Amino acid sequence: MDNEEVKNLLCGITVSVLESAAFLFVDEEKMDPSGINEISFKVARILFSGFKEGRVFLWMTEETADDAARNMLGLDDDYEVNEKQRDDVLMEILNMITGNLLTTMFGENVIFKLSIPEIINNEDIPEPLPETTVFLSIDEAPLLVSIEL
Amino acid sequence: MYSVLIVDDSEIIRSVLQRTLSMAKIPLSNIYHAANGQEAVDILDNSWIDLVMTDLNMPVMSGFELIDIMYKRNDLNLIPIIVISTEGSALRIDELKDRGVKGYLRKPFTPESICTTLKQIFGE
Repeated sequence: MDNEEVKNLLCGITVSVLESAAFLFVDEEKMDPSGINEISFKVARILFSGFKEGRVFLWMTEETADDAARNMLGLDDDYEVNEKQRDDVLMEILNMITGNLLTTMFGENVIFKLSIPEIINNEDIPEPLPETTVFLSIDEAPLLVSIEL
Repeated sequence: MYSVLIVDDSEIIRSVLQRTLSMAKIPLSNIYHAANGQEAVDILDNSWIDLVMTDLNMPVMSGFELIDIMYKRNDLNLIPIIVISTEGSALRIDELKDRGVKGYLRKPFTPESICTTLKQIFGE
């Protein structure tokens, strides 16, 4: 599977997970990555091993994570999401994307072990971004997801 | 009236499941929360539980370990278990069913899929 095929799968699964789990509707017009370094993101990472080894990353703005948390919890727009809930929602969405992505890419007859997702600091964020990085947006806020195999 | 134990390291997922259970028109007495398998075992040791809904990938003690402990203990191995996880391996799911797991739901789940599975276990 080449990088473009991986990106298409990653894009489709991310859109589907965000819609069904967090009621967030993704703009599938892939966004322009220029200027991405100026934006403040929270970043989550999960490691997988077993049939293949690799890592999946999810970049989300705090505002998008807050919307996701409120939507999942069925709370009003003025509910103030705390840091723990923000991290929790980001890690859980990454977990769902990764589980579904690995099954779609490699089938149901292989076994993977997933790490516990974690929020990472700047020094752990891959630089440059992996070639499989998909750039999406939700209400004009950027959202990035990538897999390293 | 049923007592349900929800086991997931995500507080948000536990809240979503609790809300879904409340809407499922199943008579509930208590809903207990645990953030990992060890907390779940502690609750199982001290409370009457009619159903366990558990994630698999959790810190401290995973859902696999929890299921294994319940399977091996005579006082716990008749409690129905529903697994709610991102795990997609058919091999793993078969393994879980061999360990007595009654239902398996893939994340992201829908409230309807939870209700259907609950009704299969508790009856209409």
